[in-house]
Amino acid sequence: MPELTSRLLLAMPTGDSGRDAALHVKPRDIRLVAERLLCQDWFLEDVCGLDLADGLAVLYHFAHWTRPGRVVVRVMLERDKPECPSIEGIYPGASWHERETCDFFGIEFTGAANTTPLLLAERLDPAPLLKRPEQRIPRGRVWPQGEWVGPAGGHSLAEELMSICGEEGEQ
Amino acid sequence: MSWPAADPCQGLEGDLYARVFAEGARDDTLILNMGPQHPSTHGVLRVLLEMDGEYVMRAEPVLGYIHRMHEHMAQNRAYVQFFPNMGRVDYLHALAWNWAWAGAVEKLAGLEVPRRAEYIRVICTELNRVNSHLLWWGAYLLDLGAVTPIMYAFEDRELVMDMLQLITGSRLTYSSFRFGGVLTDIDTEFVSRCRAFLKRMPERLEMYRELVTGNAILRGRLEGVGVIDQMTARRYGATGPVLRGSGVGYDVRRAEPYGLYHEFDYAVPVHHDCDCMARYMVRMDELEASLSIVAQAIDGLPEGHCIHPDAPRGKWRPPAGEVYFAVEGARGKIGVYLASDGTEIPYRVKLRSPSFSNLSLFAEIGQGTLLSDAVAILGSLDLVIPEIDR
Amino acid sequence: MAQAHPLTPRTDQVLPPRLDFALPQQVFDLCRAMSLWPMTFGLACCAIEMMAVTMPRFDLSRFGAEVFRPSPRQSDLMIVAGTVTRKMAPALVTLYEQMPAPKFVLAMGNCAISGGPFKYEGQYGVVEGVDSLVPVDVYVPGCPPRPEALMEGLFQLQAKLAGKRFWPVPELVEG
Repeated sequence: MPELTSRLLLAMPTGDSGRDAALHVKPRDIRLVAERLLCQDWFLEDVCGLDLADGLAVLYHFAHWTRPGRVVVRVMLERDKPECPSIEGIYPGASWHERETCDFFGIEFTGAANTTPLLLAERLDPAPLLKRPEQRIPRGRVWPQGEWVGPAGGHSLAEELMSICGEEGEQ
Repeated sequence: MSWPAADPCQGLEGDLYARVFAEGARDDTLILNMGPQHPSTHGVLRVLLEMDGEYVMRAEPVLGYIHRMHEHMAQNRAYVQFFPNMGRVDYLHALAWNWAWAGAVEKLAGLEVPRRAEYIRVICTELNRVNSHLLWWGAYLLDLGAVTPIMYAFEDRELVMDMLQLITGSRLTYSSFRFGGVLTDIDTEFVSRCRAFLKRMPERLEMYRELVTGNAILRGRLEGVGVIDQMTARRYGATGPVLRGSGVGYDVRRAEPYGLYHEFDYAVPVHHDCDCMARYMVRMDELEASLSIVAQAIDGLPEGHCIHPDAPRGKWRPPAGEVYFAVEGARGKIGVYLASDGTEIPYRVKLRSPSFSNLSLFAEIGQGTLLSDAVAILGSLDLVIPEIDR
Repeated sequence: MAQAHPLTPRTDQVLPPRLDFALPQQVFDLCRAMSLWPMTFGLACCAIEMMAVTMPRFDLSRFGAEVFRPSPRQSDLMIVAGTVTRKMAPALVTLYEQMPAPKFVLAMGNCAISGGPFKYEGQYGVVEGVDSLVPVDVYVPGCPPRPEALMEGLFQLQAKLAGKRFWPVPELVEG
């Protein structure tokens, strides 16, 4: 399986999984991708945390008013120091979703104006939706290898988003 | 088991949220704490307001007073055991949430749903939507100072609840969908009651229109208040009647068709004024649209099973993988993200609730309004707080 | 429970009157029972059934509990209709303390009674029973209770106040 934290972008045809394209980006590229998606009139459905054996994942679901399909942008974070740039400057609606993800998974969203707990009265330790180590599953089980189509996979939006993220392997 | 720190709601400077909110306040303004127990917040929403006289300078909703851990519970029980939770996330449109959960699992496992079951789903979900909009209509007018409309609304609501009780067994917190169909079939009594209701409603809606919609006071309160332009709606992810009141005909039933909605002929109501009145009108039109869908579904109800004969029962293992499924609820786009590891228990369930996104834009559009208009705006978003907090 | 509970449960009941005259007291009790002012304190699903009970079909005002007040300072009955979370618990205690005595609490629904469906191993947010925060007079089970059940709960409270039941007991229906 390709390294998920690289700038590899993947797309898959509209299947039965409820999404059109799934992209993996590095945390520092999430703002660029979100900006481009906003320019193309996508709106943010939700931000979802996911606890996997390989680390913590943040999933951004985007949908469109007039285009069918759904774009999922995935960011993998390290378990020891889960930090991700906040996209609330681009999508102000993301602010609450990020605060919620911080409540449930302890993921810090850097650059957010308000970091008070949203749904919990106080931060819990460990965060409530984190799994115990023996419960965690590798990412390949949730995102099976069979779905990997290759870079951009001929999906025009995915190709465009890949181009703004720069060359693969660049630091 | 830990309890919250002893300080909330005590002391002059308030709790954590009040202190953080007060940091940015001007010297000559008043910080007003609305909720968590306030009649116009429809439950336990709390809104912090910075007031200059009667004007709202800043507003910030504080959530979590009814956070019921649905996503945590999902990771602790078998798939079918999560249905009762779905009846309680949004208790006003419980069947849409039922459908979202059933649909997500069916999509993941590739389960088939018989045609009759799809029709039954459409009928009860749309009746439930009528029920939800009627309650919103009554409660909203109550917020605005009109006390009697809610009594009329409840008369109709009770009829719908009687009908839904026949097939779901409960009045409010339905959990009657199952993977591959619905729990109970509908009988002739339901059909005859439903037809009687469909016959009764146009007259009632006409009366509501005459009594309320054209009312000069109502229009004075709602027109031009709480304008949400399309860019704001997009940046906050607003959906449902809030978005359709801003002139965008986005309806999941049309945009991402699910069930058999493509077989029904109905118009997605859209109003272009972007204000509270537009959102009011959208919901009133949706009542008619939903009733028309129910009428078509009752007339075209096919024979067959109400649940697939091979539908999974009890503790059952779907394949591993992830799925996202969206349905159109009374408040907007309901989304369920489900990650499965192939065991009897879901690995991760994320519920996307429409009110959550719709309320998040209140901080922006509430600025600069009168306090009484802020109440009108909050009501026009049609909030169900347990759905926001989940 | 390892930690001390900062929200001390209130165990005090209505203070005994300084002068106890039986007959006037009976009159007062009767008046109180027949004119309960509940507080609109809807928390979750049960709130909708609490609304339904005041609406035309069930019409609670026939039985002397008509005036729902939004302010705790004007009410003497707190109907806890829904799940009480730990974030909400301090506010609930504050509201209870703001009510003038004599005051009564009706726990409506399983959540208010015991945490209901949200009580499970590992839960992190729900108060398991509102009676750990405030004294409860009447428990009405159900999820949510039907409006008839809430009415019966109110009758029980009236019976507790006035010492007798005013309304006929409904007949058992077979099946």
